[in-house]
Amino acid sequence: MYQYNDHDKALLTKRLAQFRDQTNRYLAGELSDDEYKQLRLRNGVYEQLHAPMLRVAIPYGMFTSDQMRTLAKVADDYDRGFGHMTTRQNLQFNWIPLERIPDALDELAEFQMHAIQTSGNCIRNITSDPLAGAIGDEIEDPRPWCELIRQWSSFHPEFNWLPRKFKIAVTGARNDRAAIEVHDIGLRLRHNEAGESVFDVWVGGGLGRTPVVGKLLREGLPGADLLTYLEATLRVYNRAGRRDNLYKARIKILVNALGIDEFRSLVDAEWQVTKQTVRTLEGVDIDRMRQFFAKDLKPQTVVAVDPAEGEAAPAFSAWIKQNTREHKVAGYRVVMISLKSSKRPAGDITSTQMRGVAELADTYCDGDIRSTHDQNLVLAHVPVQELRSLWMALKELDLAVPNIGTLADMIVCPGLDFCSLANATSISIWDQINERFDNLDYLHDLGDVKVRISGCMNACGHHHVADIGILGVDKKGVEWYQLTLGGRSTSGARIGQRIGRAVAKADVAQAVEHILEVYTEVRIDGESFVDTLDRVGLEPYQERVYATAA
Amino acid sequence: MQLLRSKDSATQGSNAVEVVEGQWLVVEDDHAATDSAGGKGAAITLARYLREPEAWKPDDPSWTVVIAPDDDVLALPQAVLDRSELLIAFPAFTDGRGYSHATTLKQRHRYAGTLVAVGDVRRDQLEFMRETGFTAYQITGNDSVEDMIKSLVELEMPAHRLYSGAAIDGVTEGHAS
Repeated sequence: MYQYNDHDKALLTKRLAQFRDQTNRYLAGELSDDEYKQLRLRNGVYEQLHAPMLRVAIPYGMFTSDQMRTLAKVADDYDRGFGHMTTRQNLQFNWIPLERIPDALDELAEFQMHAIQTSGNCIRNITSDPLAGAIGDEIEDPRPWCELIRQWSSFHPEFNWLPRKFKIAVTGARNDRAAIEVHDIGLRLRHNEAGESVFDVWVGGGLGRTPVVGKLLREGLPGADLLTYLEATLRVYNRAGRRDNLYKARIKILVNALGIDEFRSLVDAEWQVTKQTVRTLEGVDIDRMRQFFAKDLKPQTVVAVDPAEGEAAPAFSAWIKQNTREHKVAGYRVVMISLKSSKRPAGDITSTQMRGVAELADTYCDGDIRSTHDQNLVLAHVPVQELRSLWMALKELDLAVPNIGTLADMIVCPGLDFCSLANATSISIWDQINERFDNLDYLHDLGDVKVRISGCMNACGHHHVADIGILGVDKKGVEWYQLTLGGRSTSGARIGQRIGRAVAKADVAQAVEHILEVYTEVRIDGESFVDTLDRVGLEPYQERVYATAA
Repeated sequence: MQLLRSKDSATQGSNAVEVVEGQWLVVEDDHAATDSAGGKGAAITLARYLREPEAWKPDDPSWTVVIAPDDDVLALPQAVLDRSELLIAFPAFTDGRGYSHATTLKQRHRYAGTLVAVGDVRRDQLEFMRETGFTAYQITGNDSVEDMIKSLVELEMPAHRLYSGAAIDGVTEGHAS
């Protein structure tokens, strides 16, 4: 885990003082709404339907038990006792009074947390693989590189006022768990034939109103040139990205307008400059960073999971199967903590649960906690002989529902219950689907089917890249829901196809059930949802959904 | 570092910030390019310069060019790059193209003169302007001179910017601290 040095601390202190001053000036009437809005956004503060929302950065989804306890304290002392995990691996609070936000930020800063650049048209929190450093399919741990990008992009003076927000994701594994192909820039860290760290750079992916899969900008970029190349790419975007239309301002629009070849040549020309002016990373840079994330786990002699006895055995086994993953070191497992209990909105976590997770992280995982882009948490290095006691403790906290990777593991945006942009509710659809599909055996049999819900076309729920995507739309004051099928955010990312006309709010779960009926009827030998759809086409799904809904 | 103020204001500078009396008069394309207010001179648009380059004498210090967000900074004529001061316009503080224009001038064109930020120049943006190579800011009245000085002096980011904003002069920094 990266630890702030004096330089980081000084930067953060300056920024907190600056934002407190800006907030005071606004409350005193010296700053206009419009000007303050832009300044507060760059400090993670949104104005939502009911109250200001504060989005706290969790850089590349890594945090510690102490930081989690601080978040719990802020939830209790400033908010209503809970927080919400986001798809950028951040945590947001929904009810903090504006005048108290600077104090909350001071408390967070004591534990090296902040809300800088978690909103606004600037480079946002870097996201990455939540299983980094623990999973066997990893080629290289991406987090040291993420930290370098974080330092480069934080307060970057040239890129604080971009045409639009800018999201960067990094993966270092064979299986992409960071959705790099649907980011403004996606980075795939791998090794070249000489064994050196290089990046494949994807550009111009994204969801929102215009969902686009990114294009390969450069293959095999030397690690030393990571920042020189990012700087060149951002400069081209900052200069040439559209600013006349909010909805055409993301880099994907520029890349599509120019074509990837022309865009690449502009970047290459700029790169000749930035190679001279931006730091080329030397071995010492990355080695120094790697030390922060190095984890020396000794293989354990006990490698088999201790089965629970008696009545609990099936439930424990189901949890092991569904919510844990094989660790790269013998005798450990990666534990996924599900924030998808039907008792709370997806991704919500109470302060009691936060403290509980912090305690468990200290006991079983050296205080290491991660957040995932699908709104769950991870304890990455748990010895297998501790799994049973961990499971029992998580059950007490209602954090052990064995539904990771199932249909119930939905990504759900806050929707019309909180968000001022939303056209429709998301949480009610989450409830409706949970009620309909409350049989865990059925979900386990169904396998890995991703359902994701967005309350408007800004697509914060990533519905475009779900097996079944659900988009809330407003038609003359009535909520309707548009369904898409066959999206994917992993390697070979693709945007889901719209199945047909929107369905009424009351019929969403029914429509999902029809889709799943067709899938289970026609799939062959564990065939995935996407493969089945590709083989049989949309038609059988359309027939079933609209035969009943009509 | 300079703050360019108009003649009727009366604030003193500080050790770090010099307050200069006299501003550039930014002239619209269809206006006469004479600075009757007795300031530093007339700043014409790049389009106007490109239209009538012969009208602007290299040895006349009373004119310069103001670069707008839409201008192509990759292709600036040498006569423009030879001006000892160049203006970069921020029509709105949310339009960040001026920052990249500044780094392009400093890094790509190796412009050694003074970059002056004009337009919607506010105290909360000064740190970013300074770090992208501006050394002069034309005051327009959003914030008082005192507040501008305060921001420039108090909000200076720590000097050791290792990975961004530290290499304006084309020199990469040393090792990590």
